Amino acid sequence: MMAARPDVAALRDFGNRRESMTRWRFDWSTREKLVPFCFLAPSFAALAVVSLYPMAHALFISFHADGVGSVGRFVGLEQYERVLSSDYFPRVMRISVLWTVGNVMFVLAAGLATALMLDRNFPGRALARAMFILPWAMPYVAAGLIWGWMFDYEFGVLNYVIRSAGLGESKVGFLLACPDALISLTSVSVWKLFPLGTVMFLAGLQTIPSDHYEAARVDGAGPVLCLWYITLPGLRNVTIMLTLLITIWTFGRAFTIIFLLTEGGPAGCTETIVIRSYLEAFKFFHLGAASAIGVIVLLISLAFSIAYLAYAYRREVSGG
Amino acid sequence: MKTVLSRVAVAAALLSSLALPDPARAADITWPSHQWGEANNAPVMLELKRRFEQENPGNTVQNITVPQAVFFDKQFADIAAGNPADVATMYDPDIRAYIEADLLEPLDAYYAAAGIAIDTLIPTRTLAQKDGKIYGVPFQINARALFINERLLNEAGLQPPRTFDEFQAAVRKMRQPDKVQFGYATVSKPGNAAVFYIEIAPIVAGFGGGFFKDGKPNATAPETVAAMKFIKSLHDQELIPRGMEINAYRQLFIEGKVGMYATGAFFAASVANGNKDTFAHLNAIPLPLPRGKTTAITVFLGVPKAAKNKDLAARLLIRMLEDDIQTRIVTVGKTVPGRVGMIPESFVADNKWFKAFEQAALTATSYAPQGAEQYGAEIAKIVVEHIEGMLFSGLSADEAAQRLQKALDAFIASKRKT
Amino acid sequence: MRTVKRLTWEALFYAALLLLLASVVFPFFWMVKTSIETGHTLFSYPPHLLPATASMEGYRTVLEQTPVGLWLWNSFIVASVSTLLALIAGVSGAYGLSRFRYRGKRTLALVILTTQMMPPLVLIIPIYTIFIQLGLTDSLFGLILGNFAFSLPVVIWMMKSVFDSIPFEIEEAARIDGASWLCVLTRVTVPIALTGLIATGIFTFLAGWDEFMLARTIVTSTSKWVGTVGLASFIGAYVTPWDQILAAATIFTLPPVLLFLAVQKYFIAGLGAGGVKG
Repeated sequence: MMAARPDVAALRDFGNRRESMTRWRFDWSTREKLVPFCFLAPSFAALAVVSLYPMAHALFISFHADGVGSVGRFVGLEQYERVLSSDYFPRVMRISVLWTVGNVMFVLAAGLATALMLDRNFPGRALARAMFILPWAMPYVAAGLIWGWMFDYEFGVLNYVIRSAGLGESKVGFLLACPDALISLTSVSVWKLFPLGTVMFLAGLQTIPSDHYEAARVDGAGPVLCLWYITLPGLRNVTIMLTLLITIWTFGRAFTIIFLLTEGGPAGCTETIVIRSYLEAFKFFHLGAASAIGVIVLLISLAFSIAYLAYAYRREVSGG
Repeated sequence: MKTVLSRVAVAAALLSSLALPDPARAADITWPSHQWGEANNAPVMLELKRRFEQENPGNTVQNITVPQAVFFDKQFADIAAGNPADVATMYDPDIRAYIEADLLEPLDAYYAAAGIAIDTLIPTRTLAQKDGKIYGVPFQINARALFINERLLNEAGLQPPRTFDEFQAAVRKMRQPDKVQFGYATVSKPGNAAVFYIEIAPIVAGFGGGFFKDGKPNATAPETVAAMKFIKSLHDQELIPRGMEINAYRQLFIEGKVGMYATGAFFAASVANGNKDTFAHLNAIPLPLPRGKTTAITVFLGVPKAAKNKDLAARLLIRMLEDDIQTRIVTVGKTVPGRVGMIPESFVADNKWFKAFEQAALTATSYAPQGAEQYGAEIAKIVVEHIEGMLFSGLSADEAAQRLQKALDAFIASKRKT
Repeated sequence: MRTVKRLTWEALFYAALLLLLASVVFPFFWMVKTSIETGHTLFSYPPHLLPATASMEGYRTVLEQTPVGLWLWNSFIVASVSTLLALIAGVSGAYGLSRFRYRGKRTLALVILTTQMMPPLVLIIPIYTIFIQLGLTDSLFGLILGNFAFSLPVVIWMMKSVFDSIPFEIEEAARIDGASWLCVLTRVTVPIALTGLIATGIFTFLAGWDEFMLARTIVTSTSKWVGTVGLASFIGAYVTPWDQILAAATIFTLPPVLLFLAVQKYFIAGLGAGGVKG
């Protein structure tokens, strides 16, 4: 017996309805509105000290010549000129973008797939869920060490497995060539980060009312349609938040894995802008240039965030 | 009980961290170093601390162990934040960079007061000198010689190589892929540029080449290119363990799977601690490369200008140059100290491998780029990038040398401008 | 027909799950396996897929010769206290940003987010300078404060998105009944958002547990070392004792895993989700 064709329009409505539900229809009194911020005020003091002031200080230094132990003379935008016109800048930007896109895509995909799998009831689910936290729980230094060892050309277990499984005759230099090195590093980074996606998506899945699924099934929707019209819209906020955060993190903060495994090599083909900022600051003592790089990263991330949020929430804006 | 104690400790730490600074009293010299954690150096440094505290009652030396992986970054952060320790530890390019940035205190008065003539120091002391003043004390010089595992040599029926041809033959003969055994090991993994540079420096010098000569880029000199060709051949012919980082192939040597390895004398202590069999067969010879020259790292200690206890710290460092500590650097630290002629004959007789290092220290040059040492870190990065291109991207040695020369020229030109 | 189709899907499901689990667990397994063996077996080729010996030498050295317990305790204090503070402050901030209407709300949210956008390495020296001036160096309190401030923006953003996903009909109902916002927040919203809250809490805890840059810069006394610094201390100047460092790494990985095991039941559908689902 064929099920009735699912009412796709009605399903789409569900997704839209959920979004509009997050817009409130009444207001709180002005006084009440201030209360959470009284609560938050001391935290803002901490944020200012640890984040905002140092950022302002970095901005300040970026307008001065490199000086260790004391601020150099004022040079205006010279450091920015130096960074933007340098040999390394186009290469470093390209690698950072590749690195970020790869990470975000695979973390989201793997995180979502895993969350969907773990949301189902199957024997041993508790254990499976606990196991998925392992990459996240492993400290970056430990992960870097063990993956570096697994990738080893002479003694690494991955090469051994590849040869024993008959998948190749010669050994693979996972970290010894490009783009191999970038692919290997991205794999390690995704491996380390996707449990966060899993956990956040799992949390998001909890907030989707099960009666939506019931209604959809009554209408005859199969698992794919349910996924497309109920689950994904329901996970919209989580997805937007995760995409934003992971992009910002991977672009402007990811350091330890690359540093431990290749430190930007071979021949600078895994050198992201974060690695470059480390080299400029701590190896070459160029604090002014490093700060300029930091500001450039901030501006790019900010531009991306504004553009992305505008795009992601455009329906809310236009929906009135 | 332990939890209560640690909680009290945390609370105390909390409170003490907010406490006002102590009023002025007898000085407490802060000496953070990764070397407090080194099995060969720590006892020497502790003895220096002990004797100094005895001779200067009321003053203490705080030995702060910092993990090697973070030490140099932390030292830089301390200096950049205007809160340096009293003693700074620096290798060749670092001390030059710090001197150029005017961050160190001149120590001439202290040398004079102790009656130590500066020309009784090892030749690489010139790195610590500028405009007639000296800004550091050489703690030890780690010249590179060739450690050999005599067991592996004997098994291959070889004598310790004395010429370049014998060396190449030995490298080839001791390479046994099925046992994953190698004749030689050197760096072959992209990673820390400074370490990479340090490891290839003796090879380049051994061919009579150098990436810099008298402050000018020298990458396309025939000797330098010959050295690069040799490094590339070792790598391409899989004669060295590929893709291993330095601590890993050092461990490989300790485990007796590498026949020869060029590094400083300090390594013997690691071998002794790691594998009795390898240590029993350990010997060292001068690095048998065509021109017979080698490089060295000199560990300098200095006093930052903004340090809180400059006078006492300077006296502590000069104290290290007295005979008792100098001899200890040899007998306990198993490396060559800062003053010439301090190595006891008896020690060399008991440790036959040490002779090669004693010899090497007399003629070794600094591994930092000659004439441009203060730019050592940046130059190392440029050089290593191109060497990596040669090893991992299939460039020929000539091609890599050409590109490297261009890059170094551009780099030096940019420095002249500012 | 339908049962066969279902069975193949089931089989595929389990296969995919097992494959994913294997790739997730294997590096951890490899780490534990290598840590159990001696350092000498590290260079055996072909590599032993199961431990060649169970010497546990690395563990013995680590447990006897290093204050690894102290490191773990310090890490635990820093991570848990900073998490607690960040959750309390962050949840209220996130609630304000999610539910209330302000002018410039979007700007405020964006400013909070910008704190995540600069490479921390560029900021570490200014942060260190301020900490020196405030006397916060070489103290766990300084680390707690630093981690709290690092995590707060993330908590706010994550919880905001969690709150945004919750339809507020129930809150509306409570509000109409005359509850204050604090009451609504704690009695109604948080229980519904519990899963998200726990997820955020785990994230913050792990971030504090794994934090390395601030710890290595401001802490000097060995009594204040946290686990990450302790782990780095095994990377020697000359050699790295692999069995020891991997043993220490395994020991350092276990507490977060145990923590997650304890809270993972809150992710089970229905439990803790409050009155919205089902």
